[in-house]
Amino acid sequence: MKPPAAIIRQLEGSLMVMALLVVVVGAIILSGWAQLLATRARFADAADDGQARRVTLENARAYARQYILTNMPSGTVPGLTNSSFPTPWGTGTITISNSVPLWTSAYRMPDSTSTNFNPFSPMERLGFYVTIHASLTDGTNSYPWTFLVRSRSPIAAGYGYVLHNTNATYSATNLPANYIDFRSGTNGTNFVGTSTNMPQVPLTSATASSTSSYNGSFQLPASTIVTADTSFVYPSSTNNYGVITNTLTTNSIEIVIDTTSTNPILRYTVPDTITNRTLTNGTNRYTNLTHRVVTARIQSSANTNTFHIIATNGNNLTNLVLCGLTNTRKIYFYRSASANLTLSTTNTADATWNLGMTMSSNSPLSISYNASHTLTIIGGIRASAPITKVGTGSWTISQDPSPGTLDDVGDRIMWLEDYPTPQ
Amino acid sequence: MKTSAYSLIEVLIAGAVLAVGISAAALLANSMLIQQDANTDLTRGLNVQERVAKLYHLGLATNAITNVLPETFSNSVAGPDKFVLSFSAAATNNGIESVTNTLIFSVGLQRDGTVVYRTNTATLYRETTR
Repeated sequence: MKPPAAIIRQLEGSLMVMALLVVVVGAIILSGWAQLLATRARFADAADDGQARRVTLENARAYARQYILTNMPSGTVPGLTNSSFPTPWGTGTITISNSVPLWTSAYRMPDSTSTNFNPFSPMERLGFYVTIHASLTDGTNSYPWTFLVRSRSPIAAGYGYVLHNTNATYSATNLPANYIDFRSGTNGTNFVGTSTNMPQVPLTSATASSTSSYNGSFQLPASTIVTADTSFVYPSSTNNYGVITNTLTTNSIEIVIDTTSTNPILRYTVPDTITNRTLTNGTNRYTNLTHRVVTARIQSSANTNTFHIIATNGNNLTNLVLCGLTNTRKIYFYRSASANLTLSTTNTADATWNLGMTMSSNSPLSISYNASHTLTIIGGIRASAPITKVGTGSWTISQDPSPGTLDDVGDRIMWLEDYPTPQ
Repeated sequence: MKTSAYSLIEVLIAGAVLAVGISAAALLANSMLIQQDANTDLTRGLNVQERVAKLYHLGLATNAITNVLPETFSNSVAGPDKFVLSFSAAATNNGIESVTNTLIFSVGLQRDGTVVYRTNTATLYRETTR
């Protein structure tokens, strides 16, 4: 028996509806997928633009940081106004809200809180902090940006000679153009500010003397460097990083820091004593004894891309000897001790040394050089005790033309922070 | 009793329409898959270059950047999973160091299987006082 025609038509209709449903669902899925992929394509385009803008903004930030680091120490206030960035890959402006000198009392750290900050500022008697407002552009939009600047090491800031102790004396044949003498309240011709801004009484973390509220001591990371650092490599025949020892007398030795190492940055922590070491050089050898390190001899080097830090806090080290006429590698010498230190050379001709020295305790420094010759120190000396010239030779200090290198590892106290200004 | 049925013509027309639709969808799908691969490669390449820029801004030497990143870098021909990264000589002006960074990376395949490359160039600046 054949099915009724009505039933057949119903089946045909149902099949058609089902087919249409399948087609509709398939079309929806296909179009959704297409839309998804189209969105993915747009995301790639947006990522392309976003990457360029983020890199541009970071370039602008780097430019602003360098501009501030360059201009702040010299206090070039007018130059800080509306500095436009020169390239399309980093655009923006730096503006300051007023025109007063950046290190006046308005920006000085409060006395009540200054012990928490850097006790030294080349600009004022206390540390300073300055907030600089800038506008950075990513090529499309501008963003308000805030830079917070704090005090900086005077040597890194270009002050080649800083004498902290108000009771100390010094002698020098040629001072650098930028120097600060807390003792006399004088400064170099390029000192920024007026005599009333002279930092007469820097804050000190040490005990004040009876004659002054400042005894010349200042707090430095040097002691931290010495105590926290364990990088001094004891002499060995296979790997000494340029440190060898020679025996001077019984229980007194010298270390020699030569030019073996070409590490870009290498830190020597000179110990006060060396114990239980077999000394392989010198005429006498002492084993299993405690040897006092009394002399450090630094060999000159023609390297230009190495930076060696020599730190010590021992009183045994009383002689620092420069060997060689021309030393182009950077050497930074920290000392946190109270014994006298004599800086001398083995040269009989004019010499030029890249050398920075920071003597953070009341350790007198004597600089001795041979008659009729000059020792030129490119860098600077920062001390809190008398600096005395010994002998008939002369010594001069000149500013390091590339203090940026010094900033890498020097006692940087200028601190620069930046962040997008909250809106 | 007369019963209804599809004629041969109707079936053929319906089949043809269906075939056209399916083939169009297949072509579209193929194109979109190729485009999807290209977008993935493009996004990845842009990310690599942005990380290169970030490491440069952080102060790394240019020859050290490739040692930090996990991607495979080569000096000449880039492959599907390789990048050619190069820097121009650094120039310093007013304390700002700059280099031009060029990254060549693949952005998918053509229909014939040829790898398509993109060359992206970015100028990077960083402070010399770091």
